[in-house]
Amino acid sequence: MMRKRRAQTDVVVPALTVAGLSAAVLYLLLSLISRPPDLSGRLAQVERNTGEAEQVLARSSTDSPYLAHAICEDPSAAPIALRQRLQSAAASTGLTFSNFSTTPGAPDEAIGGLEPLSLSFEASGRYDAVVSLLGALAKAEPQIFADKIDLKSQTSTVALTFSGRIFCSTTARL
Amino acid sequence: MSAAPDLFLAEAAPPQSSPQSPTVFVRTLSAPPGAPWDQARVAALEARVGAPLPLDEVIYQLHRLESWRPGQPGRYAACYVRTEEAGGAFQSKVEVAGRSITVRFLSAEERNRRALRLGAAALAVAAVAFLVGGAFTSALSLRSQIADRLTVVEQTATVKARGAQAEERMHQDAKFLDSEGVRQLTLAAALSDLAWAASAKAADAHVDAYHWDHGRIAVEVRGETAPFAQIDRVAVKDDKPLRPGVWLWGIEPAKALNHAGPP
Repeated sequence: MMRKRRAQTDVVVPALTVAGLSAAVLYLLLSLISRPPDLSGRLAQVERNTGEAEQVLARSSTDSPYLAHAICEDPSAAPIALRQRLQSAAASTGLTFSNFSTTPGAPDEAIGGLEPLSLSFEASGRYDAVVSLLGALAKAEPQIFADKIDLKSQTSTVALTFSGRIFCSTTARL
Repeated sequence: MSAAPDLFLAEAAPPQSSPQSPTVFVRTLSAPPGAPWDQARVAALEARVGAPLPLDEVIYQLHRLESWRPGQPGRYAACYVRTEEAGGAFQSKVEVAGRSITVRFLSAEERNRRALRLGAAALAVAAVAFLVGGAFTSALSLRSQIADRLTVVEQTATVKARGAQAEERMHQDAKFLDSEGVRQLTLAAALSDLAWAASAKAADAHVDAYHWDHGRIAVEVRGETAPFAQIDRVAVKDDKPLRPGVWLWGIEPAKALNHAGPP
């Protein structure tokens, strides 16, 4: 009887040890399988990027008068694009559009290589159409800045003479 | 695989365990060359087909006489015992082709016990396999879920980083534009001034022209009376008329009121 019990103990203890070790190995294996590759590295990268982004967003101001893409990226293409946009806006408001001209200025390297592009045009039509045109241009990107706006009353219409600027970047930006 | 075994019936060697031991009949049979399991299957079939008595009256065992070799037929010994004689467990030795084979038949109880033990072990293995398989499936599913969530988090972070990048660029642009002194020259500001002029104009005023020059407003008005009913901005009339009967009025920007005081 004692021998049989001893024999059982001799079998049970190694069996339990093997079972325990197998369970531990299985647990480790499952833990490894359940983790996507480079989980820690990717999480660390996300935390780093998010932290940097939050720092930038925290110091951003909301009272800027400038549009999101106030500066144009391609000075060579800007005059044509500007003419098309103005003609389109004028046509959509029923205005007569004329005398469009642009004059490139010298880039100012001291302030990041911004190149001003002066523009002027004339338009005539109903007063509310002129105001609509100016409203449409106020939302256009790159942003148009006004130097002079002259409105002259005619019999039943208004003549607009506009001169202003846009700014284009001559260097690679973010 | 063609089954053309060399079959013959041989009587067992005299029982060695005890005088009451059952008689063991031995057949030698040959399976054609093939894989070991194919040879074993052919030999089992031959043993059943060529049993000296109906199968429900005998029990038998197969023993391979030679180790398996490729391209060689397999030789087996089929050992039969009457079922009624092999009621209990017994062990015997038989001489076959010059070799001594130990034949050991188990009792019915022992066979049942072993079958039960084998069944329980098979069940246990199946249960463990099911659990391990389930665990692996769950782990893979969890991995997929974590990967999906991580991808979403990364995309969100990327969007946020792009927003921050755009914000940084806008901040830089604003600095550049401020350096150009155009903060007050937006069309929104010009339109705001125009809207003020339209709303502040006196009902009887006759404005010939409106000029907006770098944030300053001037209007050409017929007659000498003030063109604006509202007095929240400073309006100053030129000393001399611009044209006969037409006077130029200058209006300070809105913020100038605080510094200039009432007109």
